[in-house]
Amino acid sequence: MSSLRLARLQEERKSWRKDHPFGFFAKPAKNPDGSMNLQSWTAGIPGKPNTLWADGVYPISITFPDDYPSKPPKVKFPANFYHPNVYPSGTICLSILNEEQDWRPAITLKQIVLGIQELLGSPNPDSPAQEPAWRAFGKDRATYDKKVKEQAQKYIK
Amino acid sequence: MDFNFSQVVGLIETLYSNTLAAGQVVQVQSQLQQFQKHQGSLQVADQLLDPRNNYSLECQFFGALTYTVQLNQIFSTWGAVVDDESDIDDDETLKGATGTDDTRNMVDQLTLRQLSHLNNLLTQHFVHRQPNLFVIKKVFSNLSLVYCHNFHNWTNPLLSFLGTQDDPSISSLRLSVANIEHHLQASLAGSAQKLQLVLLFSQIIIEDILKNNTMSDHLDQQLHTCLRKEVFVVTEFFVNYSMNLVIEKLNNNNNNNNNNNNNNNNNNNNNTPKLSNDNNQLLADAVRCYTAWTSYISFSYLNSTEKFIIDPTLNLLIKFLLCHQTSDQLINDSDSIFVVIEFLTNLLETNANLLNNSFKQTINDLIFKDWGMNYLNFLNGSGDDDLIENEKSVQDFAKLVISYFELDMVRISKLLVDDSCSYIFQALMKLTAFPGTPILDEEISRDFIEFWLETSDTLIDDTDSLLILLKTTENLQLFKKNFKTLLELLGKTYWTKVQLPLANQTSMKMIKGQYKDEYFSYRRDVGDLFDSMYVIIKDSIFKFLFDNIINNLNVTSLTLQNASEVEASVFLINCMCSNFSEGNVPDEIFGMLVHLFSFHRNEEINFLKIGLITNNSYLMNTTVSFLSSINFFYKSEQGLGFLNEILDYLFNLLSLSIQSKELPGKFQFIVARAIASICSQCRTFLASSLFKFEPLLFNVINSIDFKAFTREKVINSVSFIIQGIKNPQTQGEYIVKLLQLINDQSTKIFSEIKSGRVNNNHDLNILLDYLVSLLDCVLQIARGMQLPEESVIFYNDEERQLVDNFWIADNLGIHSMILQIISGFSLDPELTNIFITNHNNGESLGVTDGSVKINYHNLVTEKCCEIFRAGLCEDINGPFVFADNQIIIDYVLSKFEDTKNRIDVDKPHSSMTLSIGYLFGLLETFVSANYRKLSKEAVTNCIITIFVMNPQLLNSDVDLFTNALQFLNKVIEKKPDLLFYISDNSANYFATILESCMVVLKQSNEKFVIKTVVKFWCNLITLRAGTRENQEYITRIFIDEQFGQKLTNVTFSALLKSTRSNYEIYCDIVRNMIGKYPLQFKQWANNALILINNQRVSNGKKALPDIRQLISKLYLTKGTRKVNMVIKDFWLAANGLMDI
Repeated sequence: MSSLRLARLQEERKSWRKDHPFGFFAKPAKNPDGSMNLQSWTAGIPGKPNTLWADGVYPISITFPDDYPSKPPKVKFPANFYHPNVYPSGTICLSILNEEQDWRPAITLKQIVLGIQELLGSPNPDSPAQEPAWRAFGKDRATYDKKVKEQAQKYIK
Repeated sequence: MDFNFSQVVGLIETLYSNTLAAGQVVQVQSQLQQFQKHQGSLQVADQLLDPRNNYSLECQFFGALTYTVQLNQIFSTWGAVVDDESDIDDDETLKGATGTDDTRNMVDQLTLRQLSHLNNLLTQHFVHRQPNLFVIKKVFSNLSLVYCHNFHNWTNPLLSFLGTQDDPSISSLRLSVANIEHHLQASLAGSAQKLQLVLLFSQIIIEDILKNNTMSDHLDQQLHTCLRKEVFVVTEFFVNYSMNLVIEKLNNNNNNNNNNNNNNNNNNNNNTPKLSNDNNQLLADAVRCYTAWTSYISFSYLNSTEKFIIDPTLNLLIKFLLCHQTSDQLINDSDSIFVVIEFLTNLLETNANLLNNSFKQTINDLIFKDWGMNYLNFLNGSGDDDLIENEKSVQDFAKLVISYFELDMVRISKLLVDDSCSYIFQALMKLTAFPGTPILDEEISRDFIEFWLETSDTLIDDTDSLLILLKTTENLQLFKKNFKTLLELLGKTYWTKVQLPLANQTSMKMIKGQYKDEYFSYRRDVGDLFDSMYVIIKDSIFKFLFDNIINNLNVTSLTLQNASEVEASVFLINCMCSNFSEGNVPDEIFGMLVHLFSFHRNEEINFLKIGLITNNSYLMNTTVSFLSSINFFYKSEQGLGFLNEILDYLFNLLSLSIQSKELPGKFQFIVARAIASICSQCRTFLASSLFKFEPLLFNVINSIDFKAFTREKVINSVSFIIQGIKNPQTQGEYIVKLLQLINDQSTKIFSEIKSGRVNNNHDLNILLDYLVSLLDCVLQIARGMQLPEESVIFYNDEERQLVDNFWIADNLGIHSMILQIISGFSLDPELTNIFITNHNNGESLGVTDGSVKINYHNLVTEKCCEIFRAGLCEDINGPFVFADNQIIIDYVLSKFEDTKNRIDVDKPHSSMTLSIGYLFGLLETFVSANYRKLSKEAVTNCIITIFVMNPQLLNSDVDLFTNALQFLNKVIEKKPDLLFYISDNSANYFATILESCMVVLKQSNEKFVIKTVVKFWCNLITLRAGTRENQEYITRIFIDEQFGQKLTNVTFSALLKSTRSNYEIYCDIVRNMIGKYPLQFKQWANNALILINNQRVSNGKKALPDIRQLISKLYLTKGTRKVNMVIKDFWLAANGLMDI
């Protein structure tokens, strides 16, 4: 692992421990020998209170590329996650995670997970990533709401 | 606008009177702001600021504020002169950058006027006891503003402040630190208050500089130098002077006490200010001032070459702490001790780069030698009660310890092999085990979680550094042994900490209430710590936790304490178990699990019963999570014997969850999720006990009280088990039972709804939800019955043949049952009306509350399509695989006809169009899976029905058109032959589709639509799976019928108009055209671009960049991805944009 990436990820881990928002979790995967694989993390995003998403904690995987932090991490929900801005593969379409848009090396893990939490309740209709949720969000909001609530049950806290 | 004095005073008083409405406040503020920018405003400000005029403090403050406005106006043009004097030398540049002589003189005068005001304000403050400190601070801030800009001329504001009190002339502005000590001593005579004010002024200056660090680098360097040589020197003197005063007084007091001498304190130095009894205040002021300075110094280390020496002051702070040895001293000065410890902690946490090794060692000695241990003993007092009383101080000391260790975590390893340092770890453990419930009573143990995690991670991951530091393998072994012992102790400590205070109702109420998030976040963090510790202590931590559970089960009657301990143990085991998977679980863990589940297995109290006996939802919840995280165990030889029992337990809990009012609503979701997880992982082991689940299945399907999610998860789980049965006859019999139950129940509900007896919106929605859930159960059976990915090894050849034949024959009539259910839900016109009517307005059912209704028609159509889709990709025949292709086509076309008639094409974006999208989606998958077996007639029939017979519908909604095109794309991609030559009028309908696609390509802005239509054209150009005849047919259309030219025109036109994020999508057409029609495309592109260019020019727009050059560049790429770069440059140039 490049020293820059390693140092930054160690710093991210430390910062997260010191200060992470309630209800979220994030930790590196483990190697077979028990040591940490800082390149690959799992995390959980709680839905914001008083939103359709409130009941669930939604799992994501975060993979940091070799040239992180020059390039953003790849963040994914499970495949077929129901949200207008999540691709069928689970990849999240969010400007701060896009190298060509708003990604900056200074963006922290905490900012990323908070940004994703915000995205859950406030989808961006201009950046559709999957058809089912996007169409329902635009055309049949009652069904969209019902499906989001059902999904929250799947990932109940 | 002219202002008179009384008018201004009136406005100020009005503004601060709190009686104005919001609009009036804005109006008054606006008038006053105009006044402040007015030329004569400073004369009024001087009047307002003079306390002898007896204006209110608000007026005084406004006077100071007016100075701020005027100073900002002056300084906004302060450096502008430089631009006009570019030919002068460096010194002149400096002068220019700091104003002209006139402005400098004016600034000097304004500075003196403010210093003079300060004198008067201080008199008002100290003599007349007026609470005007906020005005004084504002004037200090103004002077700080002057200093920031004028430091070349005014080098030491602190000395000027002291000097003007004796000599309020210009000379006070020229005082410097050279030979200043005498002056300082004289100035300080008799006044501790003056000391505090100098400290405050210094603090304000340095904080303002940090806040407004916007000056150019050139000035910054000089400012840093000036700050160090002038302001810092004075500040340091005053801080140290203050510290010495406090320490001296402490020593005198100590001596007096020691000598039992009742004489008054005698200071030898007559100039030494008389300290009030409040040492704390002076010390706090000094520390606060120095805190601001250390932040600045840390900043300046990164931004300048200036080096500050801070050791003397830091050593004085340590000396201050060391003066406190006895309980009385520690009690009397507890606030000051707190301030100093907080300062040291901040310094270690944020500005540790300022500390040299020598001082770090000093801190080490402070913490871990006599003083620190004495302090900790003092805080500990006679036991837990004293410790709790001193929580804040303990927490602060703990933070100091943590921040000190965090400077270099590996250092701990060295201490661990040194017996003489064992007391350090005892101290750390004592702090970690601070009494009380975490979050509710104490936060110290939370602070330590992070510390121990960091320690544990560092010592696991940084083995190289460890070996270097410890030098010998013996030391390394000793370290490992001691570290393991330490972590075992730590594990026990946190095990106690995560126990829920079940017996304490008040605490539990707080945990369920305002502290919920924080408390459970704490538990999760402890879980992470255990997860990390496990790597080192391995099985011993499991053993401790399992033993604890067993001990708590080995009782005659259970208490809440038993439940609490078991819950904590299970919770922590669960946190560590989540990292196990098949193949990496130590044998010892299996042994412990067997012991756990078999202990008192047939007796009144055992592991699976404890939650139910104590009726504790937390324990049940944690147990369920644990049971769903040990799938590795059920699949093992040792665990298999417990599998049925555990599922029985979970099914019991599920039934209980809908009967119990005490269990939270979400509980059944958690149980259902656990059942699903176990069943999907262990399907093959559960087949023999499937009959046991029948009563539950009956209950789950027939009871409306179960949540839809639970019902669907359970049916899906059982379907997994059914799938695991290799005998298709047995499989089929179970499926028939399930389908029959679903069919009977849905028929019953349909009748109830159709009868019209349900006239309440709420009840109707519950029934409709239930119906959709029943239909979803069919889908869950379909998904559960899908062959696992490893189907090739699941069945041998003989078994495959047997299964295949069984489902082709379908003697149990399962295919018909499925179609009957689908037809009942989706094609019954009366029911469809109910679904749609409820969505539209509900009025025919007596529902008039106007709430947003769910479109059940869409949901039902979606589920039906999914049921069909579930069998489409199976390798062999099965219950949901329909051998007759026409069944699905007929369903799609029937439902399409039914739905389209319910869409008003004049009202675009109807939600009903979603149903049609699902139908087209099913067709797309259908083609993808069955294209080899499909007939041209069947496909063409679909295409003509969709595209030719319903153009108005498709054109009414671009999403519909896109969905239809996705189906068409799949046909072209998989077997384009299905599309061509099927009837005499094929060319006509195909031309109609091409024209429509051309229009969509030209007009669409939505990414999904553009991508789909571009994909259509690319598929058509390349025609990868096409026959020679297909290729010739398309080539003729492109060349002879000039669709190639048309497509090129539209592509370039749309591309040039598209947004930055979309233009690249069109490049695929260009790339494929270059590859497929290299000769023609050059001309087509040239024609298209000339046409577009002419239109642009005639519309007054900028002409396109060089067209010939573009085409040459495109051809150089040979249709590779480089086309995108060429197009990008062209697009940017055509739109007058730059690449950023």
